[in-house]
Amino acid sequence: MAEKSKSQKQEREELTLTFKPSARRRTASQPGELNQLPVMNLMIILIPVLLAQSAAVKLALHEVNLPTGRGAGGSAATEEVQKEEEQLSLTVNITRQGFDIISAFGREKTKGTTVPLKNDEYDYVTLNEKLMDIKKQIEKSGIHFVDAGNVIVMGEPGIKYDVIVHVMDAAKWGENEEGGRISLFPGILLSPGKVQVQ
Amino acid sequence: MPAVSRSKKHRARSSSGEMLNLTSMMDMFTIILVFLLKSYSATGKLISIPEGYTLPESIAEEVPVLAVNISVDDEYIMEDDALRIKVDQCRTGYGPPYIIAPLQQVLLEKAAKQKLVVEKLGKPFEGEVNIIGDKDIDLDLLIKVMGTCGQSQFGKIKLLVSQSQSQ
Repeated sequence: MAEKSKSQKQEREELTLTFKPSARRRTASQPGELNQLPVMNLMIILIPVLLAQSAAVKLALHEVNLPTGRGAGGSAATEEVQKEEEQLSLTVNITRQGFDIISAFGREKTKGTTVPLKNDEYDYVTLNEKLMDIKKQIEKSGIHFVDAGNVIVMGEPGIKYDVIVHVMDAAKWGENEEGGRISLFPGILLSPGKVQVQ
Repeated sequence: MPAVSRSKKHRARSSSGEMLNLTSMMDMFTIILVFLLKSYSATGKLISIPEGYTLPESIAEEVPVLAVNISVDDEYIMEDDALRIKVDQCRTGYGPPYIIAPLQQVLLEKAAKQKLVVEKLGKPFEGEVNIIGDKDIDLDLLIKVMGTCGQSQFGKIKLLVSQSQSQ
């Protein structure tokens, strides 16, 4: 019995010891709860503002050069050097019938043009494939062309800007077997259709 | 024992006016806010596209830079805020001459000004220009604008396109 009361006393002592500090903590923490409403208000304003300001359309740039022989800056001022070496003179001519691809390897024709229209629309996929073939042909031939990275894009009067940008896409980048992007002809020279390319 | 605590809880809730626990919502908003700030692109601020323009879509990835902006659509050619020319007035059919005189004048002035500023900073004059073209303009007009830029000391010409999501 005496033993029991002793243990009870001990227990009580322990209880009072453990109870007191925690009780103090509880009373201290209760009034300190943050009022989150102003922060919420701020968030609710900030998020729509940021959403509205962030550009819905992501912009990008396409680098182009001016037509050769027009004496206008860009990368086209090395004609004399070019004459001494092999020239590829890769040209994509945009006509109303499709795309004409002319290069040092000649000109391939199907129904008058290299890449005819497909369902009355320009066939950029085939154009891209043809240009990739030319790139492979260049590598196979082993000839060092001065203008191996260049392509002249020209078109009939009235060809739309949209078409030109798509042609530029098809000329600049191709896909390798793994589906990655490879560079084909990064140097694009935009030329009006009436300039004669030899 | 449970009955007492429930009534206590109830009393406590009713006294504080049924406050919503906003902590989880705060967490959510904080994450959204951080994400938005990270993906926030300032390019829309650098280059403003005039109203009514539809840029051609492209797979190009080059990031837009601050430069002289020339906007071209079927009706007007604009150079930032300094110039507004009607296309009909400056173009007489297709083909040469490949220079738009009023645009060249403005660009030459701009080039002279930029050179002064750039020289003071000790950098070379780059002559960068962004052409913001509506997708329905034709090649001839585009080349005339480009030709004018080239003849006005702005040789680094870049076309602004909207990045397509596909591919």
